[in-house]
Amino acid sequence: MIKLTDELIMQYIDGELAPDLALEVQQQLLHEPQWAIKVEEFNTLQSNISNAFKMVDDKPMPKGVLSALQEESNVIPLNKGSVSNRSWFWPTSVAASITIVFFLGFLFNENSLKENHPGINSTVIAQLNTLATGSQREGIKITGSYLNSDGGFCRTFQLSLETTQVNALSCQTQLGDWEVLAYVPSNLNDVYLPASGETSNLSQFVTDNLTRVSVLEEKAYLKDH
Amino acid sequence: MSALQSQIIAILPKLRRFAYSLTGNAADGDDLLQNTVERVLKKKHSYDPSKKLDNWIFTIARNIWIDEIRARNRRGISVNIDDQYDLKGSDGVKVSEQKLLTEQVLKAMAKLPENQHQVAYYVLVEGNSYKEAADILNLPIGTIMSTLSRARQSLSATMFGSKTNGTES
Repeated sequence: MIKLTDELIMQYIDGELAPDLALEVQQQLLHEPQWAIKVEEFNTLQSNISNAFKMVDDKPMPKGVLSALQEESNVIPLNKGSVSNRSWFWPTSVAASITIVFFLGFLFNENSLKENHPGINSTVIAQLNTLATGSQREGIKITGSYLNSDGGFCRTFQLSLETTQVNALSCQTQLGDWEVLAYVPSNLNDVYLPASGETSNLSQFVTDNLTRVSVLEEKAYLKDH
Repeated sequence: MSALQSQIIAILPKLRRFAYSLTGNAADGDDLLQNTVERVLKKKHSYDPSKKLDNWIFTIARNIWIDEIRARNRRGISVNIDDQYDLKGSDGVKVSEQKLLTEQVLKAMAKLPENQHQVAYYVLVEGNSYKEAADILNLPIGTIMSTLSRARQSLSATMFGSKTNGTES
């Protein structure tokens, strides 16, 4: 039996523990509700912080800032990328994805994931099965756990790639595989893209269509793995 | 466009998050962002490319904000926190709740002492690992962890009114 401490809990929440140790902590939390409450509070705090700064990111950049930079250099290719140019395929592709999974028996393999969603590989998929909301590891940070209308377990996450940050949503199919339903990159090193419309749409879609699960419910799902 | 300008543009979103977390509200955050960019452009020739650009810019931003607070204290001016988030949403209540939550988070972040703010910003806002934050701030990982723990407890106390001073028995 592992002894829970403030330090251990914090490392657990931040995804800083080795998988084995994280699992031990997770199991111990089931027996120590006072610590589970604390974890829930800190996860809520992290979720609030993430949502707050997502809202900040969605605000258009002040014109004065852009003007200052434009005066320095006459041409700045702002808005080089457009909403339609990016890998955004809500909501029509949701139906398409489900159709593919359930009727054609399509299963994600690592190659197809890499091809369609750069950075999403078996390591990332493994984190979807184990990481608690608010935790991060191997460049992936889980931002939420939800249930879809069919009771399927879904997770939103951020992926930090070399030059891009990606916000994504993945849901488990009835076969237990993870289907990536939204993949929204922001090519910040390429050019600044103000007010991420897709991120906002993703948040809105999640809010409108999925049901957030509690920390204890999430644990039950993660425990299965 | 110079390489430096491209880099500045690339870190604008990060700089804005930093500015908002420092000032605690959108109006001051945007002003600080503007002033920082102008100052950075003026001082660009003094930038040492061997140093991390964002650290250099964040230091400039922090110094501008410290000067601003001192000036306000001298003038006895209070902060206007009537900010706008320009969010479009079908559910007005939900948007208002989000706006309120954002204000609470920013205010709570802004109340943190400088060392806690720095660590909380890198780990909780930017999602850096302890090691990454330790490297950026040039601090031992143990210091990052203890500072982060205090920051979390302060944020939790401000936002939820709780005093999570450890559950160890």
